[in-house]
Amino acid sequence: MKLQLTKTKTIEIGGGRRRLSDVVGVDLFSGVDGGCPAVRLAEKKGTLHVVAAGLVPPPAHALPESWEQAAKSCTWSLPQHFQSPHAALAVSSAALFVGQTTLEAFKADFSAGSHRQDETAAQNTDAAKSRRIGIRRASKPAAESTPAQTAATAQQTASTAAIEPGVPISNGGTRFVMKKMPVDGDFVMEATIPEYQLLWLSRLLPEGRRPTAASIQPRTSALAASILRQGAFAAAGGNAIALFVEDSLVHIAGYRSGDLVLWRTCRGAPGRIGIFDAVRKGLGLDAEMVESVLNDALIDPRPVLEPIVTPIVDELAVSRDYLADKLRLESPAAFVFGLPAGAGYFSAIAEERAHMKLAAPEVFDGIEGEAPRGAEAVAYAGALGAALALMGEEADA
Amino acid sequence: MSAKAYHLNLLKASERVSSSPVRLRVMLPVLAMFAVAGAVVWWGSLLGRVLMAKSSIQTLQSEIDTRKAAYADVMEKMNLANELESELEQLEYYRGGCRSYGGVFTALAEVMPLKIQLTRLEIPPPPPQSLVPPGVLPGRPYTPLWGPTGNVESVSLVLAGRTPKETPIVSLMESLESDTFTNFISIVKDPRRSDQSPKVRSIRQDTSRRGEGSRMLAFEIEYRLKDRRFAK
Repeated sequence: MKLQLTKTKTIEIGGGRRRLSDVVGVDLFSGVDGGCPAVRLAEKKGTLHVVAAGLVPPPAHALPESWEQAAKSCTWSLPQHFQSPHAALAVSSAALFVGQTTLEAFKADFSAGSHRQDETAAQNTDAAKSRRIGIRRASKPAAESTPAQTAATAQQTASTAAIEPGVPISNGGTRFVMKKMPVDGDFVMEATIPEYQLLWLSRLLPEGRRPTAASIQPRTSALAASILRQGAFAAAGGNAIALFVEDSLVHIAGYRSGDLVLWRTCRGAPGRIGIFDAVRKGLGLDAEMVESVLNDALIDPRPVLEPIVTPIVDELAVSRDYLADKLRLESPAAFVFGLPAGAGYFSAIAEERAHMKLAAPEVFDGIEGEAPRGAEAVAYAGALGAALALMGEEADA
Repeated sequence: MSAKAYHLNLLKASERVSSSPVRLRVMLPVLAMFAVAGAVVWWGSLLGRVLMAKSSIQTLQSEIDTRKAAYADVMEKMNLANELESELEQLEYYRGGCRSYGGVFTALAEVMPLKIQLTRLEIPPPPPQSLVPPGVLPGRPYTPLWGPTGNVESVSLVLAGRTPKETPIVSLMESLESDTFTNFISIVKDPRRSDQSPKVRSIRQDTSRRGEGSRMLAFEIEYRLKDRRFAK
């Protein structure tokens, strides 16, 4: 329990964390038409239920892109049926970075006090693309600092000695967090976001009103958590390799016994929008027709899909081999998420090229309650993953 | 901290806020209200107890008022009873102090010599008792007592008569010292004592002009009878 002494001073009374049983996950700024996907989950007698799922009106202002914009406060509230005590915000931002890296590289970046934009977005412009597994082992040059960042750097005298797994830390106007991966070596999952964006997000849901933010996490990492309750995932003992297709990015994740052990982003691969645009242009369709064509078998889109999907499948095969060779993870279950249509073609191509059959389960599989199904549910993966990640974290704490 | 690498929470613990924080600016007025409410309840209970005490006082007062007449009646009757009891007690004292002298006079007639003519047989009223408070020196001023303090009254018998000679008087006095009169007459022959009995007041030649008085002796003897004791 928190006791607020003054407006700025709050002390915590009682024990540490307790299990959260009622959490709303919100996918912010993910570009979904009609609002922000929100999923409220409640755990009752050990069973997870969907209390509410739907699109909520977005905040009045967009995510700030500078310290000056962040100074304008913006408060936001959710509809009543989403007003749980705690919220997990999955954030999409071009300034956000999520990726697997080494502890050494993370420390180097942290010491430089720089924040990096999404790895793929940066790497798409990088001529010298590494063909390595996608795990960065060297630090990147620091970006130019703004005056505000310089001021923040002056205030924050953080050192690498202060870095602890899972504990967010600020340096150079950037908020860092990393977690060690349960694998041999110093591999960590890292996320960074500009400090002004994080501070703006932390004030979005004000104190004393439901919900308040208990977690602000990148949408990308929230996607990795959305798989946790899948029946097929549980049936495979948590050993799986999954393909997450976002609007403009494609990620590959490896799980061993339910723990994330591999995360990479397919360099150069277009996301869902790019794939659908290619189909639309290749087959001369309207935008509305693409999904129905990908779901029906009347028109074969494979000639258009194969040039796009094949590199992704190849990277998936490389990742599978990496899991088998380095982590002794033989024949994991394989999934593809994030495709409202066309998952069957992904699976067929993967089966032909890599002898992998990709399952595309429902997003809300393994969770009880009334929830969106089919293509409609795809947009809720980020919100669901954010809520599941927070609930899983608090349960383990 | 959990090892779940997929939860990359960028929010610091210090930045987490509660949807239902315990705010001092809320709790202090609430606590103050509770304190005031407690004080009001305490004062209320105190006031109630005072009112109850007052009402019970009024009830008792009215009961006292209603019983006052009866109480006065009872007290009056008790006073009357005490008075009557004291009167009765006094009467008892008087009854204890009653003396009958019929037997004395009957016996006196029996022993009266023939040569004596009784001219007066009197039991005079007792001398007044002293009302001087004890311890007052003679000649000093004092406040007299309200009444006698003793319950013993001395009684005397005066015999006056005439006789031609002394012998019958001596015979009478001897007769009165006999056992017949022991229960009635005290005999104390010591002349130094104040309660001497018999006390010859006078014996002289009769001076009355009529008859043969010049040849007669007139005498007056006082005997002390047994004291009257006003006691039960």
